[in-house]
Order: sequence, then structure tokens, then C-alpha cells
Amino acid sequence: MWYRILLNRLILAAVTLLGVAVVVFVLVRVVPGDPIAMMIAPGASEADIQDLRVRYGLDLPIVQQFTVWIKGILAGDFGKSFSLRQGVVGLVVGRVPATLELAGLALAIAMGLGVGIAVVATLARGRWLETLIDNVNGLVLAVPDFIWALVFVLVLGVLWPVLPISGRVDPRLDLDLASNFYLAEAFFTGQFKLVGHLLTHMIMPAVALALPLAAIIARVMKGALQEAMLQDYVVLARIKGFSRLRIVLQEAMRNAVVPVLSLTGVQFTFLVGGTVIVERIFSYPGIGNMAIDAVINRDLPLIQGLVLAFAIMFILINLAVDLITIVLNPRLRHG
Amino acid sequence: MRRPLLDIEGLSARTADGQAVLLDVSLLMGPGEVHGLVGQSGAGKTSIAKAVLGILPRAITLNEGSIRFDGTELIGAPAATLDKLLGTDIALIPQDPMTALNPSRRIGAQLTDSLRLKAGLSKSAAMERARKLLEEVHLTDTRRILRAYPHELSGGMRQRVLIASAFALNPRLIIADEPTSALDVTVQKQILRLIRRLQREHETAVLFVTHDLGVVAQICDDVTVLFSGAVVEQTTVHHLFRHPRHVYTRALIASNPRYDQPGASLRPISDEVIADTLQSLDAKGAS
Repeated sequence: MWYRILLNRLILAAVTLLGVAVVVFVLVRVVPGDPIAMMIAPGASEADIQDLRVRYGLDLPIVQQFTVWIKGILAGDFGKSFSLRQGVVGLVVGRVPATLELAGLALAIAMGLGVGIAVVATLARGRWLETLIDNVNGLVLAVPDFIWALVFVLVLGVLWPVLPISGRVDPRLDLDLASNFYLAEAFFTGQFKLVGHLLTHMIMPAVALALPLAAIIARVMKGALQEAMLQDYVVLARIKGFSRLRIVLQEAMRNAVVPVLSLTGVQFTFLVGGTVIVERIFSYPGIGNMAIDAVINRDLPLIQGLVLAFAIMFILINLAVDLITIVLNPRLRHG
Repeated sequence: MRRPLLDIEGLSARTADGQAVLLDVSLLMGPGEVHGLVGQSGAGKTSIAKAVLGILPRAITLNEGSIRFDGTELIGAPAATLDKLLGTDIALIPQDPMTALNPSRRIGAQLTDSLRLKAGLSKSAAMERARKLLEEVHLTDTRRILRAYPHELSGGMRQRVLIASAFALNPRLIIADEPTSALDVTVQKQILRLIRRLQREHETAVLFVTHDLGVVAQICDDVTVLFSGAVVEQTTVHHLFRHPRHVYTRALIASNPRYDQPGASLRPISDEVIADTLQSLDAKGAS
């Protein structure tokens, strides 16, 4: 059962990735902008430009370029960045942990906030507090993540400067870390002062990314909880004389969480997409920020590598959501 | 009669748009008695049960009357009083065993939570007690059932689990809301017998909501016949079948299918009887 789902997903993932590879490969070559022009000083001779074109294989027909690229990937070589003159794999792998930690933190904040608000709204059913929550929620839902990011920078970074507004760590800090998962490693090696320091840098971008998702989770979760509260088994629990909070958490939550979870999976991919702009605003050294540089520089191999990295993250997120759904729903486990 | 266990007096309820749901319903139950609430759908029998349990839908408001349990007024009682009584002294056997168990929690967890929370038993003691309860309702392989999820059990088994759960804390009053109507006929008989036996052993009073007079004859001591939210007749079961006083009761009894007369056609309650009954209720309301 488990391995069958996994195998299915792996095949599907391979097909998806191939599709993404084709689309991104064609797209970056169709959009205007010449990568060679970005590399070379103005006024270079036509012969020099042609020389570079040949060197990077850009003179070949597009189909042939593609097969060269794919052959490289199958051998583990994603090419070399035009602008940074390093292997794409090393560049992307070095940056992915920063984005994963930011997105993970944002997801945790979004789920905590969203579920918490939904529970409070359910308990406050029919009172003014529920109306207030609904209205604030609608407001938050309407504001995109990068607006929050700009507001935070303005308020907490400039007007009342309490939080750092750029980067992942203070560059003067001497880090004693082996991996690029700074937050996780600092936490598990007990360097809690560093954890705190990292969090001051991550909290604004993370909350900016989290708020729209939190509002969506709160809205859907509240609906699911209120529907679950009408189920016979919840009414029976009320007749057993349990407290409202216990009933919401113990009886309603687990059955309400399943629809919320599948939605969160889809929405989380939007959150990861949102890191591109939010990382830029906070000069956060993740792959989103790198992607913008890569596009500006027309760095074709790097753009391709980054898009594939995003695609792989999306696929893994959806796989994880499906597996968690099965764990949470005993009726699916035996099917 | 000894001090009544459940004393409903002059209970009236209506919907938000002013339609009467219950009209001046009074009902008295002593400890250990089984009282049947009979009537067609919409007669108000389930509304009475829900009013006692405090779970009437928002759209229905109680505007008059009182419900006293062992002397304590339940209408408008503080939540703490209700939470203490519910589950411990008053329990429910629900109508539909397919939906009354939480699909994502194991039977053991659902059966032990009130034992742990209300009776303060430890986890292992509660599990042991739950196992004994399952034996009491004639379930075998109790250890497997405690670990099972509801979807792994049949309807009859689930209803037995729910009955075990209702009797778990030895309540003084159990409200049985059509507990057999969602089950097939062969299982119905067993479940009725089971409720009757446990009720006698534990000396529990049962308010038995049903539309089935056959069930009333089998299990109840007293009976209240309801029509359109009002009491039509209230008497002992013995009396009801021997000397039904009200025309509606007679029609209701006559409409019961007779298995001892194969081939006899069913006799629906005629419009005439319904009109007469409504008229008599109006007359009562006017007096």
C-alpha cells in the first residue's frame, strides 16, 4: 500500500519534472534578452560574441541544446552559472536550506495562527468576537505577502527599529555550523542564543509570508470545525458533559483537519513561490533571491536549475501532504 | 409515587417563526422506570428528549415550563451544573450508531474518556472497565474491539458499544432516542432485550423515544402519546393497549402492522382522526 503510493508518485514526479524542464528551457530562450550581451563589456566585437556563443553551446539548434542539458542532468551536472562561473548544483544546494527554513518557519506560524484563530472563533460562535475575527480575517486575506513585508520593514525596521531588516545572520558573527541549515543545526546543537539571533532576522519575512496563509487556514478550518461540531458524535460528546474546548480539540479537530491539510499543501506551494519577492525585500540569501539575480543576468543554466529546485520542492510538499492525510484518516489506511 | 426522578411540567417550545413545537407537555418519571414517548414524526418526542439534554437547536426556544431532574431545574441551569449531570447522571443512547461514533478515534479511547474524566480512573483501570462493559453488552473479542475504529464494526456492534458507553458511569436516567430504528429487524430485538436487561440490573430510568408501539409494548412501563407537540394520552402500557381512551391512540394502535394476521392490509391513520385530534387539542388549549 505505502510503497505502491510512493512508486506511483515517483513516476508521476519524473513526468512532471520533465515537463517543467521542457517548459522552462524553452521559455528562457524565447523571452527577449541575450545572455551573452549581459556577460560581455559593451562594444565587444561581433567575433567575440560569436566566440562566447559557441563556448556556451548557444549556437546549436534548441533541440540539440536541450539534449545536451538533459544528458548533463542525468550525469548529475546541471551546467555552470553564466554570471557566477560556478556549478549550478553547488550554488542551488548551498542556498536551498535558507529558503526551506524560512518557508518552514512561515508554515509553522501560519498553521499555529490559523488553527488557533479557528478554534477561538468556533468557541465564540454567535458572539461579537466571532464577527470581529471574521472581519479581520477577511482583511488579512486581501493583503498579499510582499505588502506585509514592506509594512514590517517600514514599521519595525525604520520607524521603530527593533528588528534587523536584511540578511539571515549578522555578517560579523562567527558561525560554528557545519551545514547550511543554520536554524535547525543551531537548535539541535543547543546554541540557543544563535537560534534567537537567527529568529530576529527571520521573523519579519516569515510572518509576512505566513499571514495570507494563516487567514486561509483560519477560514477553512473554522468552516470545517463548525461543520464537525454538528456531527452526531460531537453532540454525544457534549452530552457526556465534556468542556467545549475539549470537544473542539478532541472530537472535532481531527476530522476537520483533513480538508484543511490538503488545502494547506496547495497553498504552501504559493507560499514558497512568495519567498522569491519576500527574500528579495529582506535581502535574504535563499534561492528566491538568487532566482531574481539569475533572471536579471539572463543566467540560463542557473534559472533552469532553480526552477527545477522549486518544482522538486512542490512535488515533495504534495507528497508529504498526501501521506499525512492517509495517516490522519484511518478509513483510508485500510482501503 | 416516590420522589420523581424526572419531572417535566408545562413545557412549551416554538420555532423562531412562531410555530409551536411543544405545547404544555408534562411528564413524570420515577427512578428505574421505563417511559415511552410515542408519536409520528414531528410529534415532538425528540424535541422533549433534546430539551432534557439541553441540545435543542438554536431555532427552537423553550418559552414556558420546567424540567427538573431529581429536584434540580435544568432549564437555564449554569453550564457547570449541566456538565456535572450530563454523562454522569444522565446519558444518551443515540439514534444512529453509524454517525454517533467519532470515525477517527479508536473505540477504546471513546469508551474510556468519560471513565477517566468523570470517574477519575487511570488509563489502565478505565481500559479494564471498558472491556468489562463490552462483555456486559455481549461483545466478544473485546480487546480487538477496543483497538478498532468505528468503520471496522457493524451497526449492531456499534450500537452495543454506544449502549455500553451510556451505562458506563451507571447513570440514573438514560434517554434512548429511537435506538433501534437504524438497525435491521433481527438486531432490533436483541438490542431492545439488552437495554431492558441492563436497565433492570442497574435500576436505571429510561426515557424511550420511539414511533413503534411494538417497541413500547416490549420495553416500557408508562407511555406518553404525543400528537403535534401536545400530549394526547398518558397512561401505563398495560392500560394503553387494553383501553386506549383517545381516538388518536386507537388509530395509532390499529395502524401497527399485525404479524399474527398475515395478509391483513395496513391501516393508515385517516385524515378524519387527525382532524378530530387537532380539534380536541384546540378545545384543551382553549379551556
